[in-house]
Amino acid sequence: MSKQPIDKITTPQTVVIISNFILGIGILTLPRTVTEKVKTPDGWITIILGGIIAILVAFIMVKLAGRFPGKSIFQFSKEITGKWIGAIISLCIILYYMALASFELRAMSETTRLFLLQGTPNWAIILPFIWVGLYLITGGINPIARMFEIIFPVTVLFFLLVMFLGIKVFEVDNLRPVLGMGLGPVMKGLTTTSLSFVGFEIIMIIFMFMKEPNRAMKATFIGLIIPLVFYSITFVMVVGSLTVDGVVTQTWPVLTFIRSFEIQGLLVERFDSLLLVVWIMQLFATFSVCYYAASLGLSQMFKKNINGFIYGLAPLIYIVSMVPKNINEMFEMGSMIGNFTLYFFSSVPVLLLLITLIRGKKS
Amino acid sequence: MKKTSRKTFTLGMVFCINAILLTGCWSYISIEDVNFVAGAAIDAEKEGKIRSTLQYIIPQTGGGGQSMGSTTQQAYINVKETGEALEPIGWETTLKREGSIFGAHEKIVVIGDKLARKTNLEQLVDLYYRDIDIRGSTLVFVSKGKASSTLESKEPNVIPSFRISEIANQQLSTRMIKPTTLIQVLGYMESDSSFVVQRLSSENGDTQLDGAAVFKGKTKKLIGFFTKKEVEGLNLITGDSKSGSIRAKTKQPVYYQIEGLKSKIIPHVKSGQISFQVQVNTDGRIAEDWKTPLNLFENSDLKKVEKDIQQQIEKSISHTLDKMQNDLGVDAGGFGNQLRIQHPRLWESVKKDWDSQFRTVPITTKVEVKISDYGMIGEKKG
Repeated sequence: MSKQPIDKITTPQTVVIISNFILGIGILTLPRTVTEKVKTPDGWITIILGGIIAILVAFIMVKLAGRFPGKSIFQFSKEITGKWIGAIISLCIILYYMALASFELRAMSETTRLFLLQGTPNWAIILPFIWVGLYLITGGINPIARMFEIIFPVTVLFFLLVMFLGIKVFEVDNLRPVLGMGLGPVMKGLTTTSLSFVGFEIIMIIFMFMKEPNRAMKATFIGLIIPLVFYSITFVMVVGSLTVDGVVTQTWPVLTFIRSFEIQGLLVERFDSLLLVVWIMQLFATFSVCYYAASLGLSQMFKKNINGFIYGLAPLIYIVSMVPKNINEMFEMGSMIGNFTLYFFSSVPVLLLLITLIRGKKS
Repeated sequence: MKKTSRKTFTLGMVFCINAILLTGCWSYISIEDVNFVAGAAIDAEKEGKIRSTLQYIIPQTGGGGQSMGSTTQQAYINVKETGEALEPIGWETTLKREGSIFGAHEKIVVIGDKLARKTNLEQLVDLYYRDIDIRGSTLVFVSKGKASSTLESKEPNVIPSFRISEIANQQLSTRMIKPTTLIQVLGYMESDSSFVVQRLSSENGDTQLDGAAVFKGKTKKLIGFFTKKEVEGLNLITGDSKSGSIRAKTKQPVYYQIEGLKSKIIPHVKSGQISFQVQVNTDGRIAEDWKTPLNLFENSDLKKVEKDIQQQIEKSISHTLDKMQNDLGVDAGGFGNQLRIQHPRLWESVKKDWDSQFRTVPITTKVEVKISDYGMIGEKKG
């Protein structure tokens, strides 16, 4: 951010950015990844607990960012820990966002290729995505926020509609008994579900753009509650329809669920394509925020104009997204990114906050 | 001047490029070149091979079966091929008939009883789950005799697959089971629980829903059948039915029509001893009564019929239970599932060989019948 005036975003826009960023490709596999660990139908409790953990961590981040108004983590990490360590932290975050952007791209193209555009090569799906994303983020945070405000209601509406249409195949017996084996199994899936909320750390970056920074806490909270509700509904519907044993066999359980019912009498009988098309918007949101965050980080680190970095990152993101050779490697890439997030974002903000508290540093 | 011409040029270029890039027929397939599969049947063939029958819809007359005029052209064609598994069979058929196979509109899968008896169902239908065109809502059936013959019809305008799936989905009678979709079967198979699927039988080009086929959860192989009568008992246990009729045990026909049916399986565990109670609540009306004289205006007469129907339901249930426990030796009524829900910890210890434990579990029934009315005739003089 050199000489450009800083754009401002409203509190609802902050909420939408956080929610849109969290909701990504993860929701399509979530019922499986949770059930694999939990092995009972209680995954939805795990999801709620994971959400609470995420909210707690998010509060620490907001507290930290609140001490440095008008600055992002790329800038204040330097102030807190000094030039070199700050640079390392920033670089880690930048690499993380770059890898996440690539992963979302690749996962998007895998599902699209499977269900919508059979026979279309990966590059033909990924490249336009990068180009459109590039066009969006060169406009800065404000166009991104406004774009998300359009995406958000559309995706939410369609997603919930399609989920609830599946009530026909839903059987409540598949979700019973509640806590039949006690709390033990529920705890086993906690890492997975907390990780599914990853994305809220974006608050440490967009905090500097907020018009009303004092409402950041509330915005983050609501921004996390929305995905929490989404995840819970998805889990309940999918496991209630596919059963615990069935859901773990499916590569994309949510898509399997949507393909397991047909509604006669409505305009369309099948909703899988509809949902995927709508969900691609959501993936686009996740991707463009990652892309923007990585470019912003670079520009703030080197104190140069952001545009150069935006263009520079495009080919890198593309190359990284093509690295996984098959779908298993893609899932592996996802869990690698997840593991990094777990250790990095659960420790670094806490450490940074502790240092600032001890040193009493304030911007 | 120079500036505008350059602008025009750029604009022109954009239009030209768009015309090439944004046209919708990039990788189109014309609909004539696609074979829409309406249903599939799999049969056992010699030397461990399987024979698949794919029912293609013929586009000219297909869809709805309301073709105009006096066309006698069949609305479908059954393409048969043999092979080791479904994938090579599919490719083999493309050598015989033009067009690719398009499974997204497949409604039913029928598996021959011979094949189902000797082959693990999980392996057999693997392709249906893996394939991204075929949907989880596809219905699964087992045929009595050859599966391929259930996909045949005497009426040229009717597509048998569509008819069967319609009948199954409407589920009008207690003598057929709740339609079983691929995705439900997946759940049963993955949890190793025994389950039933609808059986089809075909005679002279007339296919009917005829009883149910029972699969053993452990082996995922067909082990036996329920007759239509036994299916009725099964439906009374599970409550998975909307309507149907039950005959009273009178000399002359008296029929009770089920209007509402609610069943509940309640597991009881007392000092490690598992038992079940089946609670059935039904209400309905007298639909046909040949008895004379009769006076249904009299409440005591009505109660008599109620009592009779109640006994018949109990009998029907106990007959099905007897078949399950003593004949087939598997739990096909979802008793284990209720035990899992109510006593999850106990279930963990018994689920491994639940089917064999189920054989000796005591089951009691409690039936309540309420006849709410008897239609337009209340009294007949002898």
